[in-house]
Amino acid sequence: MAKRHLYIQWDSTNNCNLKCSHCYHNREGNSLHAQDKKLMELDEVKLMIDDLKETAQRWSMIPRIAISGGEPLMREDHLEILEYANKKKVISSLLSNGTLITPKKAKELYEKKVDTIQVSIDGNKETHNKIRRRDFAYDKAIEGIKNASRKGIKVTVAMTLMQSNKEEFEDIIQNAIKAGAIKVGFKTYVPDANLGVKDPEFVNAKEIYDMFKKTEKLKENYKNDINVLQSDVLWQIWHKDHELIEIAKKQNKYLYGCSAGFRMLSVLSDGTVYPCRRLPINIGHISEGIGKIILEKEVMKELRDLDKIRNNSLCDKVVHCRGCRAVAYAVTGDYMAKDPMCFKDLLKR
Amino acid sequence: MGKVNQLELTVNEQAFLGSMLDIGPYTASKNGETPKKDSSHCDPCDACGPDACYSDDVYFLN
Repeated sequence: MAKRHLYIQWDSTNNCNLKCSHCYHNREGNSLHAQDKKLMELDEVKLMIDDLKETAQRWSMIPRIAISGGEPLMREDHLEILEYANKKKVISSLLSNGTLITPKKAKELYEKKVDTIQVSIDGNKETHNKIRRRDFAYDKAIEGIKNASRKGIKVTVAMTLMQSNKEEFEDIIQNAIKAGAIKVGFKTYVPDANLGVKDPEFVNAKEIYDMFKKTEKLKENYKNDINVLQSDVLWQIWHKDHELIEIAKKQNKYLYGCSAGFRMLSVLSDGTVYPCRRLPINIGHISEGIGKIILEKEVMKELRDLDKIRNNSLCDKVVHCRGCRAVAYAVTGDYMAKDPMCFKDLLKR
Repeated sequence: MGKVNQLELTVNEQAFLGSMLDIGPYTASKNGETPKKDSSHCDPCDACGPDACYSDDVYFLN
């Protein structure tokens, strides 16, 4: 039987060996992410994993944790945490910059049964290093992907789609294949809230639409070599409606798309909770309990208000899309507003 | 939602879980294809559910 995932994206540490221009840690500043800020202790992390497991079980969902950072491999007890998640049968993934995955580290991660490692690659070597602000970043990341893949770990290559790199997705696909990754995809960029659509890296709806058209072809061209993902939330409006969408519409129930408000939480290194890592609204502390936060926090309840989003965006696709609430928030200050990157009007022409 | 004993769930939980379509009887839809109903066979899509095909593969980057 198909089950939904209940998942947490957790910033395990604030430390990182790169200084990426688009990283939310850098954007949010040291007041929130100072290196000496109290990190969750191992015991607290284990309690969070227990809570995730128990809540998922209670709700008949599949528990899943994506361990991020900073760079998660810079947290000293990362292997112990992976081991604990595995023991609890919580699916674990690492969201890494890849630069620290040596052959020895790949072996250790494999032995701790990490499910997937997602490595960020933001363009060809020159672009990637410029965005990551380190000359070694690209070569080390590719080496890390090779080391993990050789060991048998599933690697997904992920790109943040920006003006700087939107012409380089095919390069990324080709290099991901050479390095041994099994999946490659991109997510849209969330602009700086202080700049909104004036953020120089902002990609507008027409450009997103063109990128999706291109990706459709790339997926077909490379289908024998790698899975080119169509996982950004806006893919929902690209595909034709089908029977399940019709049922969801009829019942006015969430089907899929953006998970914010429904079955996902983002936990910062000190335990602060956001609805999504890209939607920086403090809704509590993880020690309050996953169930309580999802069920009772007003922001979470509002994010589940399909009628409100439907009215704001004049869109009938809210049961399976809802756009990206974080982009809406960054551009308009209202997380319930229409996603400014939405290109559905272009599909009608 | 699946095989949870509904009697154990609070009213809040029931309302929350009821706000999501029960995908239990369906296998996943991939790339917009029509999902199949109540498949008893096991495949990777069946394990993950329709959501996974779209929104779970790449996490939140910037």
